Amino acid sequence: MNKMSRGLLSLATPIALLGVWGALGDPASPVAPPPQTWLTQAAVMLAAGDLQLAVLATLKTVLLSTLVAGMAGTVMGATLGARRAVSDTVAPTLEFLRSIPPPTIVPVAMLLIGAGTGLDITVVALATVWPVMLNVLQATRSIHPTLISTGHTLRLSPWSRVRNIYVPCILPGVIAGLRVAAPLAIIVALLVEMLATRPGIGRLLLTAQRDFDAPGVFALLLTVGLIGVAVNGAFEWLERSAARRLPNAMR
Amino acid sequence: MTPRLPQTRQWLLPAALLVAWQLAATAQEGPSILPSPVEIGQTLLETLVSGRLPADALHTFAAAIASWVICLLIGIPLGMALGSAERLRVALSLFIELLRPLPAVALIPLAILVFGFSWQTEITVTVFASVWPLILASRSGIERLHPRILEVVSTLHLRRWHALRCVITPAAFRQILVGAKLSFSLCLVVSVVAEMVGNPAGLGWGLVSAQEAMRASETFAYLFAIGILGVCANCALDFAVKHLFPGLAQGN
Amino acid sequence: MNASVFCCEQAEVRLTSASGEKTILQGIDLNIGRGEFLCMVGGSGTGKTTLLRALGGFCAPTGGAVFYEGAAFSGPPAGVVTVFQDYGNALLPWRTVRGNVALGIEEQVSGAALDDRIDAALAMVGLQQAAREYPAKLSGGMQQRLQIARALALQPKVLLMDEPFGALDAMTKAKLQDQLRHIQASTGATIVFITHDVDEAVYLGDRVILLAGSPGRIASELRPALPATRDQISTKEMPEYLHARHELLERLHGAAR
Repeated sequence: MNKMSRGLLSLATPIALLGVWGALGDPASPVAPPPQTWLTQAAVMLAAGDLQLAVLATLKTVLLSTLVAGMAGTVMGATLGARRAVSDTVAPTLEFLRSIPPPTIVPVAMLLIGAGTGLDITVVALATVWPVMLNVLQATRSIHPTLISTGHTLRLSPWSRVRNIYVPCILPGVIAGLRVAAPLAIIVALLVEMLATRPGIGRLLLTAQRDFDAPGVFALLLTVGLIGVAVNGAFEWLERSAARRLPNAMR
Repeated sequence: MTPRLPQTRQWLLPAALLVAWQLAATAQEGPSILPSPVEIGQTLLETLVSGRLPADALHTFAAAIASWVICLLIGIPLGMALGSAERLRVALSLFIELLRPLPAVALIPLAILVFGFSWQTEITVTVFASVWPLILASRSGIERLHPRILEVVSTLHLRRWHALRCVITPAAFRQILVGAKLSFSLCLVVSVVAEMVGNPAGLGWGLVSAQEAMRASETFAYLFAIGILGVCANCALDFAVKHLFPGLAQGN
Repeated sequence: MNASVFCCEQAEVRLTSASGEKTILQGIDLNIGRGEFLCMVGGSGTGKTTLLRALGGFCAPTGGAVFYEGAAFSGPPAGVVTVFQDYGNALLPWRTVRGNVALGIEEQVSGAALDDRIDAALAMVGLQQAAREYPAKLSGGMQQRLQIARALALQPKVLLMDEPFGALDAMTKAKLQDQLRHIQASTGATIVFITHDVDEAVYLGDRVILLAGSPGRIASELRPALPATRDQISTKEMPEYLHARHELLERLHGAAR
């Protein structure tokens, strides 16, 4: 099978499914409305302005919190990973903390932080800092001691050492962590919106469900899917451009 | 990653953190939002003794296991079929790539529409979210089969079902097991999340209702219980695997 | 003249790879008789393995024809079993020696009859002592013997062997060579045996064919006039043996030039 026919064959399945659903589906169905109804409902939501606002709110939360988590995680990971004694001591504690599922932190964080605009970003960042921190910690630990010695031998300034040795070595870890953190951020952001009724797609989803608006629920699901694709795509692009600039560092 | 440091130094850190936490909590003025570790411990004990925590934990665990079994029954055959039939794999590849990334959280409202706030919602969402690692691992297990294995099957003139049962599945088993373990962890997490939003039962619901009622130490207690359940369940699974399949070590 | 088991008529095998099409074998005319011990020698890349695979039903000829007992076939023909060089990949590590030997026959035979067949196969290769062990615990030679026992359990008419002793040390090789000749004498099976070792080919075979060139062709054929019973010391001193060995080496190197 050549590339073209592969592409067509894989496209065929979802298209066929949507086609059959669209043709045979009952528009009034409370649980399985045909795809056309999703688009109609999406148009309604767009007209009312709800959909865009919700998308923007969720995206803002996801991107900002991933940024915060990225920065905090990098700093913490690099600090903890810099000395073997430190990282070894900290290891079991981190293992335990890592086993707490990020979504379950949300109610606890809601209690401690209270409702407010800061809530979303803080909670999501809190939940998603782990992948970045652990990856950066690992990357920092694996910097070959010879490289560090080289930095000293060449009498490089601290800034130069950071820029020329640490950053290239740690960067793949940062990006790998972000790749995991970003989809996690979407999940936790949606959860926060649902539990704390914060503006965003999560809240719209719950509203649609309470109104028994099945087409709306599907339309929003589609939106979530598209956001996921966009966010993942963005981070994949980031990973690829980093790989291009640092070919040897990226495994 | 076995540290050559004395074990004590590793336990010192969490102990120190707990002490610091206790001091910070007791030093609060006015209504405390941060419960102290002692308070949390007390609440934990109360809920354990009253039977509420064990009941909730049992519910979550049962839901996770039930979902996992369903994942095994769907995911392994499907994954193996994908690995053996090129056409099927290509036909479903885009479909799978579109469905797989959908977050479980986003699916809960849809499940509520279909099943209401019930265990069916919890299990459906959990299965949907956790079946993918099994499908992919089973597929990979078949794809990674050494071609020699398949040639042995044909030169010994083994019948299809016999080959599948006695050669192919055991050969792919190691890979399938990796997927099964991953799927199990996911089942536990997603069950809790589904309970937080879609099914008023179990540890997830206990967590959220404690938070809504502003019972801080109970919230923390439930969080702790969830973490412990996860660790214990995964350890139990590892233990079971090691003892049920000692032959896995014979593999390589 | 023995009835023909395999018959190749101008067989040709062309394989497509990433770098394009390549003809591995061309113009192969070969008749293998029942009960014959045929050895195949030749340099690397001359298509020995491909020819064996064509006989074994793993690849179909792209030109000409290959017949088994007078009929065309696709997939391994009934009664033909291949023994692979990489025994490590061919054995099932999760089954004991007995379990591995049973693999090919357990669907058809059961109970006491199954046990008897397994015992007989193990006896033929001398692995009775290790019956309850797992393959990982066996030496290379024992693992290869296990693979052979597994093949023998099926009571095959033809055994196709691709450098089965290639990875073994000289002493184990010698022992297994004698064991194989003994097996062939007692079962009457046809054996097609690939080897790089000219000594092995002359010692084991009733007939030796030399593949050479790219694409590979049968460059020559030898029938060393050796007695049916052979042993590692006296047979290798016989003038017929030395003559055949000399001939073969000369042709092998001549073809390589």
